[in-house]
Amino acid sequence: MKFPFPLILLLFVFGNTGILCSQNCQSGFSGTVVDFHDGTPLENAMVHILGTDNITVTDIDGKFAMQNICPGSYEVEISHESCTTRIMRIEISGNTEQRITLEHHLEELKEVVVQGDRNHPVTNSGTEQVLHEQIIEKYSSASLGDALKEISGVSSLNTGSAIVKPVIQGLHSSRIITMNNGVRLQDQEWGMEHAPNLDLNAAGSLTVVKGAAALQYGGDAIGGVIIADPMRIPVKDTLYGKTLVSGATNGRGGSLMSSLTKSYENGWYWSAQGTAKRFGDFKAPDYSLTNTGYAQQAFTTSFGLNKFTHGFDVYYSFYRNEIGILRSSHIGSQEDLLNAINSRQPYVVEPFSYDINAPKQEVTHHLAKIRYFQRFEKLGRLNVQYDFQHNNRQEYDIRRGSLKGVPAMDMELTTHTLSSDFKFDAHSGRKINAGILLRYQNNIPDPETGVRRLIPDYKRYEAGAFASISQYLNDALVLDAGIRYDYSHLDAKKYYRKNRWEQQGYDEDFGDIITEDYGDQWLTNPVFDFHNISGTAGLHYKTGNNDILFNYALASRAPNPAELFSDGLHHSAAAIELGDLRMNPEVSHKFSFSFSRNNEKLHVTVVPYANYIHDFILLEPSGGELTIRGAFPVWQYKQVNARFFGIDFDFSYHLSENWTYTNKSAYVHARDVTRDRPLIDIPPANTSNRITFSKPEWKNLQLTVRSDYVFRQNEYPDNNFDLRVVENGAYVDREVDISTPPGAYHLLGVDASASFPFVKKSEITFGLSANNIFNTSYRDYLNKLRFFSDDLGRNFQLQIKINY
Amino acid sequence: MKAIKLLALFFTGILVFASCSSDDDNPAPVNEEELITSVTITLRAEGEEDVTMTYSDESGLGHDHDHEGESDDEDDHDHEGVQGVVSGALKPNVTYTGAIVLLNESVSPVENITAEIEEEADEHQFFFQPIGSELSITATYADTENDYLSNGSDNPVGLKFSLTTGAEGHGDFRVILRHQPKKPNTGLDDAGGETDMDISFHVHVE
Repeated sequence: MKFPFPLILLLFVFGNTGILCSQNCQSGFSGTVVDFHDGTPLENAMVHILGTDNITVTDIDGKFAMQNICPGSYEVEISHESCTTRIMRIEISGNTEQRITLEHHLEELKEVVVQGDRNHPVTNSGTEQVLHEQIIEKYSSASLGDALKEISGVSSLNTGSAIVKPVIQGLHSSRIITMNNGVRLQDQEWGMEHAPNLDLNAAGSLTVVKGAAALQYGGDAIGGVIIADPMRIPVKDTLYGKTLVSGATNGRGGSLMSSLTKSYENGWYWSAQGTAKRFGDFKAPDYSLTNTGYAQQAFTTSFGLNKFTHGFDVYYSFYRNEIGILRSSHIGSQEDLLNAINSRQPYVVEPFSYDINAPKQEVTHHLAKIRYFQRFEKLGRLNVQYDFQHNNRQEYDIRRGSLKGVPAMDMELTTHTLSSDFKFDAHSGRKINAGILLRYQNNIPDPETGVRRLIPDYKRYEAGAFASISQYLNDALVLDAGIRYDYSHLDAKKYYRKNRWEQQGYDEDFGDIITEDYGDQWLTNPVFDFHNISGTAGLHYKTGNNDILFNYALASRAPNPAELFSDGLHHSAAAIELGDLRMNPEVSHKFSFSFSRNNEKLHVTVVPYANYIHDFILLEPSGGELTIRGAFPVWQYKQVNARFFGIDFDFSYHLSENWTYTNKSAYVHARDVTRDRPLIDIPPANTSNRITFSKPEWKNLQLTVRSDYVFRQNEYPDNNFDLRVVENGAYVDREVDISTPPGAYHLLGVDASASFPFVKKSEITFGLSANNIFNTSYRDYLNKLRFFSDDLGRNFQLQIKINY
Repeated sequence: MKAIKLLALFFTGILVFASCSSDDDNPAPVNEEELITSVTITLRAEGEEDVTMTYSDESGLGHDHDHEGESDDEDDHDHEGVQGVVSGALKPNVTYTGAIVLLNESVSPVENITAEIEEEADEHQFFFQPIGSELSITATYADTENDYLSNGSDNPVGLKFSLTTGAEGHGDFRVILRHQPKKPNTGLDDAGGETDMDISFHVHVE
């Protein structure tokens, strides 16, 4: 089809020029071709006056000249091997001279509007790792947190199997920033059972920056940054998409994901993607996990213009999920907890069902953004972005009477952010990035729940500014440094029960914030101002196959609303959670070092780090409170000084042409220095081994055997307490063991996939995988439901992908 | 330059948003619903004086430290249950009929929790536990789900029960309400569910 067309064109062109040249063709065309960014002359750029045989190449000074051109208006094509080809319309008469700029950063251009499959790092010296499309697709029916565990040093804090919160080098929740297509996710990330409201199917790549080195995203990323970028959209005329269907035996459900993208040569594009997931009750090896089904719907759409010098994009994403929480995990008192722990198996085991009943959570998240960019010649690129987010979280409890079906918690969090940054990239050896941010956030808990608000109404105003630089010191050594300032103003309206107010000692310290008296409650108006400075500095040394990175990051995080204000029964946690108005910002000093060696056969990366956190905020069990339900567990936010030492390890070796062995391992040792004891909820050491056989000639066949070993966490604080219970008609004291971690476990899995040509130019890929092949019963230390049930049993999954 | 116009539109949008959201209304106070603030257990027997066991959390702050419980029993520590008040001693070797009434008095109008439990009798069950070797009483259920729901189920509920006293003595009589227990069950140990109420009454049989 395609072949004859240029030939016809060529014939037409030659015929045409013959006629033109018979006129007075004495004009000349000359000029210089330079790099758009820094004005450097470009050698060997080809200049072609389309429709003529006038072709020339620029010299070492970027200069070119052509003679004997007939006057007129021409399309001139300028191309260079490392630049985007440019076509300009030029009037040629007499001796026309023209200065022509070319975009010399092809990769970056594509990244501007739709950041894509990230090829270059976010930071210079921070340690980071990327997951590409292939791995993301494998987790299509799972969640973001599951996929990120493919990265060494990343684990997860689970509530069952559907609520998966990423943990980076032992840190989670508010210490991790999640960027969804350039927007910082504001989705009440503080809660332990609040997973990121983000559909991983919308991402083309997932980058994890381990630590606070990526200052452009925020100064409070003590744990790190997760960056989800959509697929890169090429600047050419094309229409493409994919559909992915997965079905799994455990949970008897699956997911459907489909996307379609249309782009044009002139830079315009649009894209749409949707995901639906539905699972019923999951199954542990020995019993069904009643009420663990979930449903998720997500949709994203975008359009925009990706021009050479300017462009914009408009993006909207919708995410909704409904997640059932293990029925048996719903307890009412410390005695219930003791019984659950001792029984070693859930009380309620019902036959499989797709029903999602209380306790459950329903979350809806809307995200909209508009971004505009403009490039300035010999200077850099300006970005301006506005984004809007609305997060509604409803937690349903098992309730009685008229309150059945009324959520026990219903919060609406609305966030507006305006940000702008300028990247100075004109100087070839130096890059400077500076930006500002303004944010307004408003939280409204619905009073109709009939449950006192856990998090109060508040308004938060934030302003931030940052500047960072990376500078080549010589060919092998790059230095980077950055600084950021963040201001946050928090204005809350909170009811305190008078006895709680006194019990916390607020009557002495905060007497002046009481605004009204409501009988047994005070209405108060706590206002906080936080000023946080963060910074980073590091070196990247590259020699041959080796990369050595050193980075220091100072990060400061203002306490989040949960840490300040939590006050009441957190139904989904079955505990009274108490914040403290006296919280100080957390300040972290992190030193990370990375050594990696890459060659054809071997890839190895070793990342040791040390993180010292002052005023580390943790939520710890602190006894019980007497209620009509009996003693109720109380968890209190506290501040201690903490110290994290750890090491992440990645290794891959090509045993032969078709065989590859990979290993990733992580270990973190965390201590509460203040009380000289281990910190709670620190991921145990783990190691994963994989052997992959791949043969592209055989329909792209890939076979992988996976072995994941998680050690027992031997470093844990003793939070056990004695509880007086009745046994055989008499009171006895029993220890409630909420501290001892479960034992080590080993899971084996296999993956197989192959691709076949499908109708027209499309391709179909079949993937089959099996997890926990031996149906091992195990519990994970970082699963909040470990007191109540075993983790998931064997699972087979079939995935069919069609690319078109 | 369409993009610039669009951008301008959006910024105007922000300003509108920002100016709209400057309301200074106070949020409404929330009173805990679904709370049990008052428990009354009436024990009746022919020819005997009525005995009532009561517990009341007047402040309506059920999820907090219970002042009464604490002041009544100095040696109590947090992990021991809430203590109610008993009007008088039970007589030995008598069978009393018991009835339980639960209210939430922290909201207005007062919420009748007993009625809610009757409506959801299949999801609730009381458990009775005599504690101590010196206390000789036995409690048996005197109602079934069928009494409230006409569902044909003979699973007990416990809003009505009978209490038979033995020899003289004293000890704790513990009354527990479980929400969504496993039904039928063989007792507290395998009932599971969520504890909605757990109160002990120190009773004397004399």
